[in-house]
Amino acid sequence: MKNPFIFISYAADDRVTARIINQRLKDTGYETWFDEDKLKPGQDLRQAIEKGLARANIFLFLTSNASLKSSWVQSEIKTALDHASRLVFTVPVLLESITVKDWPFQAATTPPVRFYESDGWDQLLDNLQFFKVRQTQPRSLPQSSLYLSQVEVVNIRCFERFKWSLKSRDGLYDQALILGENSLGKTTLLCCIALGLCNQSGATALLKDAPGAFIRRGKKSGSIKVILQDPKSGLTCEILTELSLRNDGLAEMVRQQVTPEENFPHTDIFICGYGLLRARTAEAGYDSYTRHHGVKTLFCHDATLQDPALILLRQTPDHRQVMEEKLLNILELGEGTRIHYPNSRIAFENETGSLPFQALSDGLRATAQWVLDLMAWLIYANRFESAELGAGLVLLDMPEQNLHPKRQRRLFTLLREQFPHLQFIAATHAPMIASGMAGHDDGIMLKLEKDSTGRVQGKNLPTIAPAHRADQILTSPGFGLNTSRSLAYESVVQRFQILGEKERSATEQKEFKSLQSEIKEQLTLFETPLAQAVYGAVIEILERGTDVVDEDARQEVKSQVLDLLRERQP
Amino acid sequence: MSHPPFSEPNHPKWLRWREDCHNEALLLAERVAEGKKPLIKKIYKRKAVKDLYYCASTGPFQGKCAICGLPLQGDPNADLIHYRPPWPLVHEGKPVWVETPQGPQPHPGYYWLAYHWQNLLPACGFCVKRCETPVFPTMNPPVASQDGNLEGEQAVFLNPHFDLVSDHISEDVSGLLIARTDRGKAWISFFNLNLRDRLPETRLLTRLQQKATGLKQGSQKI
Repeated sequence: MKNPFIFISYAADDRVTARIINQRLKDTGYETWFDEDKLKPGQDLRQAIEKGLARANIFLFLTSNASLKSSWVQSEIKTALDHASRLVFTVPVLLESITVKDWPFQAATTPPVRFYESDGWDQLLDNLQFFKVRQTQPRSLPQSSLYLSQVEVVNIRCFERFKWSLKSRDGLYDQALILGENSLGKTTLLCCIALGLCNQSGATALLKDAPGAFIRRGKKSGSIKVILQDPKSGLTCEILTELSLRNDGLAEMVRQQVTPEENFPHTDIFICGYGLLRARTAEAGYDSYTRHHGVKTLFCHDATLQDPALILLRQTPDHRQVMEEKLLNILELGEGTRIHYPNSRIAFENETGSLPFQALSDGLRATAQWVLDLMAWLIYANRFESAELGAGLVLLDMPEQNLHPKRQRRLFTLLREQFPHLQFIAATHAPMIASGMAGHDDGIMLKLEKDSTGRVQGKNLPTIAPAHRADQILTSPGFGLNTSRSLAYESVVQRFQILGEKERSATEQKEFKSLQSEIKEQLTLFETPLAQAVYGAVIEILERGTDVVDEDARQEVKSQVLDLLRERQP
Repeated sequence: MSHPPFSEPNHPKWLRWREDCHNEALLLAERVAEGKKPLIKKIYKRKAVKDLYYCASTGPFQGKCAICGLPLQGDPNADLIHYRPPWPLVHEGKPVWVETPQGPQPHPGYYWLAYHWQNLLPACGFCVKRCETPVFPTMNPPVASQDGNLEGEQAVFLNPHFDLVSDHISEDVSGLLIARTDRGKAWISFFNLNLRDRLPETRLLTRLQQKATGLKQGSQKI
């Protein structure tokens, strides 16, 4: 960890306290910018401040009635912050008990430090801990690349006995989609994988946060068996997580067994999971990776992701640059867009202007947040140094959340490009997400459905054929719709059937004929207007009452088609 | 153009399969007689027999799904299905109960017909999926043992091995189907033959193709 460089801003009335804080910070090992230390006689104050801010990571704002009133502190510091080209975080330090309604900044990065309280100094040091820049040197590197090979679930929620294998002909599938109607256990399966890959205490903590029981109703115990495999070395390991009800029938106890018992590669397991409410972030800072923190949003609706700006601040410039590139490649905000950090916040800048992170559309912001959170965990787990180290598993619940179909279509291709060594498993209802995996040989789709006895079963299906359109995907076995046409069309067809089956009155016959021509018109056999027009011309002649086409009719069709082609020639 | 009932081929592969099926049916009957649950082996959908008869474009089903008429070629999920399901029958998600000398019991399924050649039909992936739930509506209580009279139960669904589909369903110029009988109506409704994507379009195109090539439109096909 590297200590951040701290810029101390204060009002003249608070000079004595400021001096003490400056000295104590320096004694603790922090490097500071304090005007009395840095300003030389006759030096331009504005220039000096800008210079100091250009180096600073933390803007320590000593807040008092005096400093809030001081027009100098407010206007000059604000101007300086506006010009700061780097990521500078604001830590407000309250020197006296005051309620601050309007910060002179867009937002304070951390909750205010109440310095006037007896533990004020500890509060300040705690806050500063968040901003320590991580060292580049990894502490322990993963020794194997472990991916999910199989999961077996017994008596967990809707699953009575369920087994899913991700073994492909040549190894393991690296991208998998879980499909199925609502309430068939897509999210539960993601949670089971996450629980099965956490350690015993982590899994216990997650179960406490999760709404509802995990053990199947009427059963006293359940289990999750997860098998991991390193496709290169062939190393296989297994975690069996057993859940049982306590005697009082309330809480669920977790007991784990690992195979091999000796030298189980605990630290080589990497898993992150993102549940539906992943758009919320908090200021929580982490120093190291823990599996159950990485999957928390799958279980707990109050869970938050790491603060995007904080994630970026805490990294070394090299890491930050790679993270920015990956993020921009996934967000596709247009050529020439770059990330900058006005007022300690992330913003995307291109020639048309600057867009704050929080102002991104919901879909893009949620995506950016989980992608940044994932990258932060990869760094904390020492897997970001090179793509080779990036082995691990990412679980996504509805990755399409609020994304336009155009982006859904590209999402999995982009994720493959940016995180080639991660295995992605996503539960989805979106045909365009499935379309993004088309043609990818190492992808698989799991279709969950109830069998005739009402048990949820799964079936592995190959990925979508590359040429298939959204409507074809929706009516393929993965999604299983009869039709992607509207309910309005359905009622037209139903009425047509009813009329067709009965003896029709004159009015009904009129209605029948009208529906007939409406259906004929709406059933477009061909996608282009020209092809449809050619079809219309052909069918018109062929429908003239004869069952046999003679030479005259052939000639007429030919000339009509040629006329159409000539008419529509560009 | 052959009309139902269709005849059997005389090919050695077919005859061998018929014999194997006969033997399996005997084994299955023995198993049930011992009080064990019926176990259906996959021998009924032997590839050679699909290629030779059920799915062949020269076969009685002309390389098309016997239910909806979609071409089977290029459909990775196309397979053979049972007309009368050999697995325990289900109605609206619940078992179908039948009266037996031992009292009311869930219908065991038509397991004795699991390997019968006239109980097998070629189907496209979608119709295969639809048939995964063992549903078989009948007007009278379903037959639950090998010696029962199948005709007496009055099946609702059509069996293209015996029934001329065009007697029950007619094709409209719009590409939609119109039921001529209650059995046709049930068939259209259960297999979603009017609302499923691609089906009306395929019918229209087939019609167009037949006309354009100067052939008389086939009357029994849907």
